Order: sequence, then structure tokens, then C-alpha cells
Amino acid sequence: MVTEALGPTIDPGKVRSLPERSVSSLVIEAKGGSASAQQALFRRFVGMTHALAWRLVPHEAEDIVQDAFAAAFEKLGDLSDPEAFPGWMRAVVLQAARRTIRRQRLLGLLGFRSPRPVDVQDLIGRSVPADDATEIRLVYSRLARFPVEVRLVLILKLAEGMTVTEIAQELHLSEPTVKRRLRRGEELLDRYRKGGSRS
Amino acid sequence: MTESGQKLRSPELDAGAVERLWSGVEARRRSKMVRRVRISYAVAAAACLVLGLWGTRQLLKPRSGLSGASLVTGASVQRIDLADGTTVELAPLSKLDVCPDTPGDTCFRVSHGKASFTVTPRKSGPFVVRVDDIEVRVVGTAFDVERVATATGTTSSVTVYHGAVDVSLQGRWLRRLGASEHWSQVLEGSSTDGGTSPAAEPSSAPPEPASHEPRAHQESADEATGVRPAASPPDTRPSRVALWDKARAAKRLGDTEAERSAYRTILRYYPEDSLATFELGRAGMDSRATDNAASLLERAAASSENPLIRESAQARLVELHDQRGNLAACRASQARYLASYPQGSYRRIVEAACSGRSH
Repeated sequence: MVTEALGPTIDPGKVRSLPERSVSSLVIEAKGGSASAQQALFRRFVGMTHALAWRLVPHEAEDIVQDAFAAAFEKLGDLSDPEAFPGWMRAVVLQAARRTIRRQRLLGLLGFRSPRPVDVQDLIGRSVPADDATEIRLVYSRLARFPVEVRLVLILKLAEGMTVTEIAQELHLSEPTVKRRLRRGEELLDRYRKGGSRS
Repeated sequence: MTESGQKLRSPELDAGAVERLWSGVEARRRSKMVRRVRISYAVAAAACLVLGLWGTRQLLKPRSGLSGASLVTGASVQRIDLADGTTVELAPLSKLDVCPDTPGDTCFRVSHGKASFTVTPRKSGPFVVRVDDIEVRVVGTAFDVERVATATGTTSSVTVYHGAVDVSLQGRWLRRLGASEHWSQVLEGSSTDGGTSPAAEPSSAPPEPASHEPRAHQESADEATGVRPAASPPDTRPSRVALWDKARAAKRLGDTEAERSAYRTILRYYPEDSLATFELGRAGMDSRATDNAASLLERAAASSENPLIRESAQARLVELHDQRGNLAACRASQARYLASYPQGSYRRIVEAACSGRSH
């Protein structure tokens, strides 16, 4: 059995065989406390989780992933539908990212940490239109200055390419709220654009 | 801008990074578990500390040396002084038990005879006195509780001199007795006949049980508890309560003449009322109409079964003789008071009297 063969340390060769098992069965086993099933779920979703975390808070992505999985395994019992694990995991990552952003902001206010700019030049997909790429670069260069909630919806929209409806579902918000936050983000971006052109 | 699809790639995760991330997840889970265990220990330690402090407090709590004890009097009156200043006077041939099952409360049971309580206003647990299935709860007051067994049955009574008490029967609240009110219950054989029996009450306890409204309340409560009022002989006298109300109203208004007149009326109909006797003497002294004040006070001091009235009357006599300049009588009264009440409430006033300076 794959889960038995995995053991406590990671064996990339065995990990590749994991997709043969359904997410649902892994979730059910993990809920029952199976360490190997939990590790298998981690293997299966760490890429997606890390990518999302990186786009939300680039410098803290690894922390967010670890926090998110630790929290996810702790409250896995709350997940009633095992099929819904991917979406549920994304929501857990968003919560962890939100906590991290708030913590960063607090540390920044107390003078313990200053926001570092993020250079995303090499990571913007080749197919992304130039104006979108500009927007993404602008957002990431000013990331630390956006309010947490505005920052989340902007990144989900610009970097993840999600629709308003998808963002609303992901963040458990109403669509008008998402639209309002996006408008606020646009206003801030406008202000930064004008500020940039003046300087 | 396209509406779907990721536009930003994230850095690739190599096997080492995945390994590092998984170790981090495990470390976080372990630290969370350790934190949870620490919190549990802290909560348990706090609970133990609270329990320990509570237990220590309970152990160190001053307890009455009388706990579980019984006191039986012979031919003389016994006086008990509690630590908080409360006094209990147990009449001759009476028995008083300290209830063993009331932690936090001060509780006595009058098993036989009569006990007079002068309770200091209390901040802590209630002061409870039980007689048969009657319970009297007080905060700060002076009252008597009596249980008299005769061939025909048992009479349990409560008389309040000042303050107020709550009377319960078989655990059910019956009524609140105010100053100068009296309540009794007669148990015949095994039945629970009960009711007010002022006429049968030979004590100097001033008043009759209650005014009309409280009596109605009491009767309805008696119906609820199955206690029916005792049959009383027809009484054509005016209500003692009404007469006392009149006296008190006059006292409040400062109308000394009307007050004295009211006491005289009470004594005309209820000559055994030693409080009225005392009050008439006292009012005479206060209005300087001291013609028969001495004899009235002597009568109150001699006839009252209420220790408070006896003591007050004796102290007043000292003051009266002192006012009149009758040194011989003053010193005789003084000696009598100090002999009877070496720790009495009026001791200092009495000791300072009879010096020949006042008149």
C-alpha cells in the first residue's frame, strides 16, 4: 500500500505514485488520524498551496504553507465533504495569508520589519497582455501598502485570474463586497500610477 | 485583461523544498500540541490553585465552638455571646441545639423552651433559628423563639422586638414579621393545627400578630401549607396592633401626651403588656412627668420576660433616680443593674450616673 510505503520521510519516487489514490479516500484516512494519508495529501497539494501563498505574500510563502497545512490537519474533522478538500484547502491558505499579512503589518508598524519590494518580472507568463503585466508589477511593487482585504482580492483577480464570483466564493464574501474592494484597489492603483508619473 | 487563468507563475518547488516544508508542518503541529498540553497544565494548575486557596480558606475559616453542640438550661437563664456580638439568652428549662448541617450559616434549633436572640447586623451568611418545622431567617434584629409542649400539643412562637425576620414553615416562606409582631403555631398531637394565639401568649411580647393585611396573607399562606388557624375565644378588646400603631404615630410626631395616652389605653386593655408599661415610664421621664415613672419602670423590670425590656427598664430607673437627685435609690438601682448586666449595653451610662452632679 502506498501510504504504508511512504514512511516518515519523503521518498519522491513513492510520492509520484500518490495520484493513483483519490483525494476523498486520502481525506477520509487523514481525518481518521493516518499520518501517511496526511503526508500524501500534503504532497498532492503542496504545489498548489505554495503557488497561491507565494502570489499572496511572496516573502512568507513557506510560512503560510506550513501554517495552512498544520491548521488544515487540525480541523480536518470539520470538512464534511471530502471531495471539497481542494477548495477548502485554498480557503485555509487564504486565512493563513490574511493572518500573516496582518502580522507583517503590525511588525512593520512597530518597526521590526520593513516591507520588501517583490520583483515579479521573470514570473509573469508570456501570454499575459502587457497592460495586465504592468498592473501586476505595480501591485507587487506596492503590495505592502494595500489594505489586507483589498490586497487579497486584487491578487486573486490579477495574479490568479479569478472572476468576481470565484473570489466571492473563495473568500466567503458577497459579490458586491468583492466589487467594492476591487474598486478601492483600482483607486489605489490609480493613485500610485499618478504618483509614479509625477515622480 | 483575461478573466481566468493564472498570469503569474510561482517559483518551482524542488524535492528539498518540499521536504523542508513538510518538516515545518510537523514541527508546527508538534509545537501546537506542546502548547496545548502546556495550556492544559496551566489550566489544571490554576484550578488546583483556586481549589487549594478555597480549601485553605475553608479550613482557616473561624468556626463556632458550639458547632454540633446542645445547651440545656436548668433553673437559671444562660447567655451565649457569639463572636460577632450576637447574644442568645436561653430561658430556664430550655434546650438549644446548634444545627450541624448548615455550613456558612449560623443556625440554632430551639428544641424546648425559649431563646431570645439579639442579632448583630450581618454581612456574611444568614442567621437562622429553627423550631419544629418553622425557620426564622434574620439579618439584624432582636426576637424570641419559643417552643412550649403541653398535654394537648406544642406551641411554637416567634416574637420580634425590632428589625424583621422571615418565617418559613416546612421550607415554604410564610411571612415577614416586623418589629413588635408575633406569630405562633399550635400543633395538636400529630396534626398541624396552627395559627395566631396572641391571647394565649403570656409573654410580655408587645403586640398582637399582625395588622389585617398581614393576617390575611398569613391565613392564605396557612391554607397553602395546610395549617389552619387556631380557634380563638371571641375578643371584644380593640386590636393591640391598632393601639400600638396609634402610640407609634404619636411618638413619631413628638406628641408626648398622645403617646402616653395611647400607652395607657394599651395597658387598660392589655395590662400584661410590659413594653407598654416600660414605654409609658420612659415617655414620662422624657417629658419630665415622672410621677409614676419609677413604679412603671420597676414593674417593667420585674415583670417582663424580655431581657431587653428588663435591662432597659433597670437602666432607665438609674437615670430617673439620678435626675431626681435621689442618690440612695440611684445607687441601689445602679448596683442592681451592674450586678445583673455586668457587660450590659448601658453599663457606661449607668456607671457614670449617681455622682450627684445631675438632677
